[in-house]
Amino acid sequence: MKRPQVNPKELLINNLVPILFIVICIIGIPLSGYSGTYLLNEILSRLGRNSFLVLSLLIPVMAGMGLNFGMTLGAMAGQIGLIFVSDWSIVGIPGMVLAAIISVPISVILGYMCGTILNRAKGREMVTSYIIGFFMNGVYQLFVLYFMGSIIPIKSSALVLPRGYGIRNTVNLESMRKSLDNLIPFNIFGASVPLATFILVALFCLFIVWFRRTKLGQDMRAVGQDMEVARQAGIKVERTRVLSIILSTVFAGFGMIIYLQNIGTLNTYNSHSQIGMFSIAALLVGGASVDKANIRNVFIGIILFHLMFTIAPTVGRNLIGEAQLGEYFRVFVSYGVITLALVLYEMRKRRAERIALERGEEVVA
Amino acid sequence: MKLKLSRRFFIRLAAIVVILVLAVVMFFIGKQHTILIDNNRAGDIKALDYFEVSVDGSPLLDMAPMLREQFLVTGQKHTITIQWEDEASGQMLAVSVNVKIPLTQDMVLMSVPTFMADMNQPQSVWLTPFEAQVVTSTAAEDNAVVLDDTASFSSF
Repeated sequence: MKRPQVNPKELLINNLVPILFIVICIIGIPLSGYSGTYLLNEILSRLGRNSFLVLSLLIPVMAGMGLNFGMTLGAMAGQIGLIFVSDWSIVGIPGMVLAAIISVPISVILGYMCGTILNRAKGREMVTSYIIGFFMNGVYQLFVLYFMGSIIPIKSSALVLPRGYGIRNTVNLESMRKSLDNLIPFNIFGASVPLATFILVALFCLFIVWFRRTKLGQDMRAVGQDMEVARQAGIKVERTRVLSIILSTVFAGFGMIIYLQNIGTLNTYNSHSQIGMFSIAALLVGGASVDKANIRNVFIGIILFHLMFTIAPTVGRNLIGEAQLGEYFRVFVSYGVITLALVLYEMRKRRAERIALERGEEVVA
Repeated sequence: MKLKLSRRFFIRLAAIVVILVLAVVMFFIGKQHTILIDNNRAGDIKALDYFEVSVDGSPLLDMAPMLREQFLVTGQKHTITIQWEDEASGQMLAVSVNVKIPLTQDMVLMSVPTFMADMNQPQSVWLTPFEAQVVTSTAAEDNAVVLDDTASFSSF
């Protein structure tokens, strides 16, 4: 069988973002001066804590809903679960499991709401989900800052603000810190491997692979390819789209719990706010696009993106004497990579449309 | 709306029940309590000169008069071991006692002098609920929260 010819220009354009990051990392690693063990340790830790979150983005992409900026809703649900669990003093793995169970109904309600709104904004799902995230952030703040401790009983003085209601800026998750990561102790080349977290992530990957083959997964792919064709084939398009957002939100909630158990501190009003942005940036760095993402993109993206994140401040300090510059660099790169990926996606789409049009005209002629 | 009692309905119901049971189990096995081991004077009973204490096999802690130590434990049932030197014989003696902490009680205080005075007393005499003092303040600076979206950048 003849293999299709690879056009180097096409290959470069299609993989511009990962190539750009590989170049940044190749230049940055020697400049940072970090040892291989340190970088390995950092990458393994970041891979463990971010994988679940980034994987949760795959299902809406499958359903043609683009990158789910609304995953922050799930992150909020996960945080609410963790606040309750901290108040009840449930620690370790049982605390994580209980927080996950609490987060599920909240995620389902928020995901249903988000999915229903997105069905009314077809074609503009990403910007709509982004704004829903901001809107729900306000609702979350209302709940956490005013209702918790007053209407919703929270009795722990370590959580409630001194005025008697509202949650403090930070919630200490020390009793839960790395309880999953360190469940199965394992070291490689002097770096600690969060084996239990990786097992969980692997199970989630298997779930995604299995899910793609189920009836619902096939329906989602059909809806993602062409909504009208899917509707004519008898698929309940709107329901399928809502389900994809609900699933993504629920998994984002679980991902946030895994993420925060690794960090060990919950920034009540900020932890969730940028999680969508950084998870999406990581996925795009891995070579994903708005309409195409797979498990490989997740892992390549996390490794490259977080490698840049790890080395950037030190490179900034070593080059210019200002670590803050590296901080700015990694933030502007995060936003820049999303912009670049969206521009490239739009360019590719228009090019494909133009080619299709030209071919159509030829046929007509 | 008519409820359809199909096989799918019962499977879903069973799944919800299993999850709820799991939540309850997690609550029971993961609940953390604080045990305060106290060596202060309790009424007429004097504090002990010296003893060592361990909870659930933790390393022994030295306890002098007026001291209070805290142990963080998970679950309701625990074994507290007290070791002391018998003045008459000079031998080290030890006693282990099993305690059950009420599920909803976050913190309990064990008065070791009270326990040692009469080991046959019921648990409620020497193990009492303890509530930490809550400091309240309405001052704006004490109640300020950070709502800046970029505040969490450094944690990534």
